[in-house]
Amino acid sequence: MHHPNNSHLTDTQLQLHLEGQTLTTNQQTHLANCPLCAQQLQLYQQMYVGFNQLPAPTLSFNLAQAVMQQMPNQAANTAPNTQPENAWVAATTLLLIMAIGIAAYLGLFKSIIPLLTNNTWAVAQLLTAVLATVLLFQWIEYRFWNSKMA
Amino acid sequence: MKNTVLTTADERKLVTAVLQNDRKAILKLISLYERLVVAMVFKMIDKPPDREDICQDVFLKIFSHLKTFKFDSKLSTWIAQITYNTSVNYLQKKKTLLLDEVFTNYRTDEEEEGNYAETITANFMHQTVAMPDELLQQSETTQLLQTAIEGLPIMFRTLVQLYHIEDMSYTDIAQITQLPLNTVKSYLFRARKLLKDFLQQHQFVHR
Repeated sequence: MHHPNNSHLTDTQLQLHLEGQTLTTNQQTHLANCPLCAQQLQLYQQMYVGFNQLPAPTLSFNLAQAVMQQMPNQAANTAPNTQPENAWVAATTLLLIMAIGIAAYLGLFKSIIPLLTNNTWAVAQLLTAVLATVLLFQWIEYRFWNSKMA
Repeated sequence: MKNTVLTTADERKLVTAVLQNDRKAILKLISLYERLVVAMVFKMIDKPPDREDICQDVFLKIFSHLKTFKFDSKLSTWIAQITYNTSVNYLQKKKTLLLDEVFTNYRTDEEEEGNYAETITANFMHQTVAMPDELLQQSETTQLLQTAIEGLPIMFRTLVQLYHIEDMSYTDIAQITQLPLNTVKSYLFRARKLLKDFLQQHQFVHR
């Protein structure tokens, strides 16, 4: 098929026509009167339309998540955030309870309570000391946790 | 399915943000170019588990080399080039040919039919095709086309994907594949001819 001697349009000419190249008058006349060439052109046209209708392939997993987890600077960001925060609060609370328990066991409160009665200044000092201790614990644990995650 | 189009200014903003390790920008880049990367990898690699690994590998390479991107091409072209090179490296390790010699030596469109008919048929023979009983409709053509593309040599199906589905220019494709411009055009011509022959064969034989 498509031998030059019978004037059929070649595949090159048909493809170039679909790519926007104008046919000569003779080629246009031939195409209008030749069922074979018209059928070949139609096949190419169906193919071009088909290209735009092909389904896009998809992955069976979340690509973005998988990539983020493998990126060195993003791994920490993709880890669930609530877990370290919860662990930090739980550890601080536990340490505080242990400190109060040890103080009670050693009888420290027995000597302190009489001093606190009707003594606003002593109460303020005690509260400040407790608050400073809590903050210190939290800061130490925060630094410890961050150094582990880095 | 069209190629992602960002203006150069938008590309610069996005790349700058990604280089500053902006998590949202990183996710946006993946979201914008995932379809292109996945489509190319699926065209070039046959084994599903390997496809998934390569898609991840491509994005990790993109992020690790992004600082070398100089905006002398579109970001999509640069990303497609990384995808192509990563896939080609994989195929070389597996000793898989991008293009059989028989197709490389293929001459003009007037000479090709007799010499290559057997090769083409052999390539398509393993495909299972739902044959249309009546006049071939466009939806059936699309199904046949998908099967036909899968039967093409890897290089041809990659070029068809980039040109006809991703709407990339011959120049961009030449840059991505490192092939001469005329070779890209010639291969695409041959690919379309093979696809048309396949559609014709099934339209006439199985109607």
